[in-house]
Amino acid sequence: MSQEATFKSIVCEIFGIQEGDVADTKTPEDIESWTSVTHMQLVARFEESFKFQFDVEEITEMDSIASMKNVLRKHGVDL
Amino acid sequence: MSEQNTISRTATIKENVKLGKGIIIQDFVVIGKRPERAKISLFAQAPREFKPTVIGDYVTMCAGAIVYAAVELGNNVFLGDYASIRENTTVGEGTIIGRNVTVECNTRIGKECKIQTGAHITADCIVGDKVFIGPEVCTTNDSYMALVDVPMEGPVFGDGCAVGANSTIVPGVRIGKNAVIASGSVVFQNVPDEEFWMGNPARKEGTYKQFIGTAKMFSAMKKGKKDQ
Repeated sequence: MSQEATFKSIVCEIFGIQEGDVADTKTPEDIESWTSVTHMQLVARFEESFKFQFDVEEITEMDSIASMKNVLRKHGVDL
Repeated sequence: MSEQNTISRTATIKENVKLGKGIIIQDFVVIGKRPERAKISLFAQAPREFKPTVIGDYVTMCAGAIVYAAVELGNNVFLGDYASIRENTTVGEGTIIGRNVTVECNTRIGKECKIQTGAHITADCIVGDKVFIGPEVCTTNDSYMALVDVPMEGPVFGDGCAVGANSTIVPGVRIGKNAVIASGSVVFQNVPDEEFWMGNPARKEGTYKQFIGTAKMFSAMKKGKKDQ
């Protein structure tokens, strides 16, 4: 599975949404299930799947799908 | 800050109590109370002799608070209305104990902790420094609920840990330094330092770092909304 596909599958699984809903513009205001708990679960799954650790500031920055991708790209994830 | 003590006329200060300066003692506070046990209690009767009760400087004791014999309250401790601190317990400097909190005997509470309304801190508990214990958190020290005769063992809270409202911490469990326990969790096993646990039974759901990052993100979003 490509890293892009892995990213989408994690987001869909944790938030319980369809692949078509994983748009760059989406924020916690658009995705009802994007709560503090699912955000943490997402962060943990990214760290486990892509084998790196975020720092606190990066976790704080990930307030949209686009910014989430930007942070992951900094760690070499091919998105 | 005034160095004079302000003591309500309805407060009761028993013998063997040492008061610091700048203390506020509100209505119906009792300091130095000796413990009583039920006549049919399985425990030995309460001892007759106790060390002094020592109240540090600038302590505030709100209405109805009860401080038993041989308790030491550090400087700037705050006790909310009806807080009850049992014998042989120490509370470190700057700790805030909320309304209706019960702290049982032989317990050590560190400096600058926040123990919120209605929490129950069981006997023989050890609470480190800068610990947050949310409202109605319940700690226990008898694994077999008096059905089996085993030594009681209170939980231990590491420095900087935080326990969310209504969580239950069972006997002898150690909550690690800077660990975070989500509201409503039931913790049956030791939680390592810097981990985030939640659920019943509680299990690891993340790290302290992930929790702080997430909390900052959501609070920034809320603040942004307010500022709009």
